[in-house]
Amino acid sequence: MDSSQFFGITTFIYLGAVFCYVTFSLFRVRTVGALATVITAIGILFNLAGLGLRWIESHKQGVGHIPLSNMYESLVFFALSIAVVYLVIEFIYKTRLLGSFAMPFAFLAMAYAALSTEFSKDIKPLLPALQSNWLTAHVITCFIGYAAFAISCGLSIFYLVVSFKYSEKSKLPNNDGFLSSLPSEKIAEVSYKMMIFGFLWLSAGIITGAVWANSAWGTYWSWDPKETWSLITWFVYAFALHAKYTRNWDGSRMAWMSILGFISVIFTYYGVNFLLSGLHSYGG
Amino acid sequence: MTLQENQLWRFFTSVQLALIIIASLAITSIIGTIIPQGESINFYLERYGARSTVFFEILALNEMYGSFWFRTLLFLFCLNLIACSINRLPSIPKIINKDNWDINFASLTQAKENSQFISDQSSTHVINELKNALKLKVLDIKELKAGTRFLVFFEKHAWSRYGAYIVHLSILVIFFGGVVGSLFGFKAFVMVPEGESTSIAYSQEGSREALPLGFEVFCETFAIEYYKNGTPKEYKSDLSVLEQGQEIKKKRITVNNPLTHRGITFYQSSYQQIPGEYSLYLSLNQSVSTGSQSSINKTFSTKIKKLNQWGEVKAEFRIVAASKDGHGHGPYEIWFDDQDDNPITFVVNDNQTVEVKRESGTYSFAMKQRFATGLQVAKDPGVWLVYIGCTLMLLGLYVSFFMSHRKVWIAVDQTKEGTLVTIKGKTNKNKDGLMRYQNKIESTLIDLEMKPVRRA
Repeated sequence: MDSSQFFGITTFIYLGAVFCYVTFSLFRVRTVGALATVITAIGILFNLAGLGLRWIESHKQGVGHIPLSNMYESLVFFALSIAVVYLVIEFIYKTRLLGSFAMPFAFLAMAYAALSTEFSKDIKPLLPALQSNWLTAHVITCFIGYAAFAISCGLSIFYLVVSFKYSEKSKLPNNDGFLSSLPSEKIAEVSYKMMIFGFLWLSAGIITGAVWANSAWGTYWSWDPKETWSLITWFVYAFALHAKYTRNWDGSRMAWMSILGFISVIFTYYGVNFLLSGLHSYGG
Repeated sequence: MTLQENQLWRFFTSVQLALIIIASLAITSIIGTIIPQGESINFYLERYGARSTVFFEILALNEMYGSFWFRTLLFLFCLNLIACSINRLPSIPKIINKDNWDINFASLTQAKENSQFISDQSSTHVINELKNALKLKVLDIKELKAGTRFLVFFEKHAWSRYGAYIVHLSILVIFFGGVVGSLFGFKAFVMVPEGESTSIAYSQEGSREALPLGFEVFCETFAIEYYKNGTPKEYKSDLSVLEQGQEIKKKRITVNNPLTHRGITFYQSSYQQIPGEYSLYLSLNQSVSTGSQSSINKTFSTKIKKLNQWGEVKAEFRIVAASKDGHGHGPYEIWFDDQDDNPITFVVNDNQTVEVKRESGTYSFAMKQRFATGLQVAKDPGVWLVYIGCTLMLLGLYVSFFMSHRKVWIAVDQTKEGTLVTIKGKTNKNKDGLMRYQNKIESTLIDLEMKPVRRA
């Protein structure tokens, strides 16, 4: 088997995990919930194995490098980060109800990597500019941040759906399978936690990128579109955090900010590579 | 008029202003990612038309990140940061140094949200057990009623309340580093042909003036290494630094591995073929009387038809033709002569070595296209400030997001039913974390064989 087959299988495993999380949320069968967690863990193992295999494949081709060098590889790593970060919060908060809104992002990232024809999936040798230890640090920090923002966005959608339902019925639903037994404040809190966690890692990602740029080009900041968009994303989240601390923005405003932030993340990650040109164009 | 009443001060310390500035920076920054920056005026005319180009020129949208209005916005951002911090910072020590004993004992023990345990042991005994079990460095105990009623207090990470200010400071340090870099540093570029040296570089900031380096940089060779599939693997230049003609430093630079001398760093940035010029490496191997070999060599940079003389061995040569097809990349035809034999003519391919046996020894010729290496030259004395600021920022973000000021009061009261132990916790953020911490204290108490009356 080669790595792309592993990634294909991982896509289906993540889809299975999403299915189990949603089923669990609807019918509250404990075994289905436990199954969802186990499937996610298996998905993570396959995802990791695929990345490991791709690393070995690159060495066999004589151009060995860590599989974090282009759009395809980063999408695979993005999916892995989302699944791992999600499992950690499931463990910390001891609830499986968040899975239905977090794991779809892992599935989508993986499915897009596996199915898209917009970018090359071949293992290519590293360009001279990419041959640096900062590559690993930069990509890992950025994608942990992106993963946290994706989950925060998913939970924000969850929050908005819940609060919309509540306001519609203007009372707490007592037997509304999908949405009950998890207070919306709790969802907002976890979403906010993911936001600040992501903010820390995004900052680290921008900083490692700056240090790398300085060692390759002699300038740590050049207002390249990718850099600028990462800063715009940083400002969006900084705005949200300050609005919450100082203006006491409520759950739904913060939820919209989280969604806006994630749109900015997607543009930084994806849009810049395909719509704008700049130093980062090899990302595609 | 006090500072607080000053309109201007209030304007700069308002959080609304901070939010407006952050939002404006985010929104205006988008413009420069859509309109290509720093292109020639013809580029904009062609792409956007005359009207838009005039508009761009007026608002400096073609170089917006360096424009007056964008810099003003960044400057306002800094002023606002400083003002907000000065305005709010003094309240932090007040909160940290608040009197923690100023708490009503009766309401503390009765409040439903505080968890409570009961023990058969005396309160002094309980206090001693608590002291050992909690393993805290600082544990303040106040005896409210001799031997029977105690109040225990401890806190964690009070200083974490400064976290946000560490982040604000870090942003200012980064800005300061940037300003230092742009005032006392430079960004420049220079092309150095193989076999030549330079003592200047050309500024890339507006003026494009020639900047003296204060020393010489010599480029011995430039080379491109390729992968099997033909894509470039590495660009490398063999550089050396010369001061008063003396070689001080030698380094092979690659794209991610620059050379630094006296605060000026040389980065491998680009390269150029020099049309019609060639780099020729010539060596002579001679058998010496003792049976051993001696070897001398020299690298020539030369043009077609030019006569080159190697005085040391009294040899001369010239490139007669550079190619058959007129592209100039070989096979090269070389005419060669030394004192021993008649002159000869031979052919050598690009990047190939050819040996020529003569009476006095064996000559090796290696010939290739002559390159010039493109060096990005940067001096940035502010970069360390920027890095310190970045480190501070990560530290500050960690402290302000993941550390919280936790306070815990434990009331120990000996009553007729037994010794009542009540726990009250308080935090400035992360209620979940506090709850988990309180649960840990509770399980410690259960380990000490106390019975829960109510749990938080």
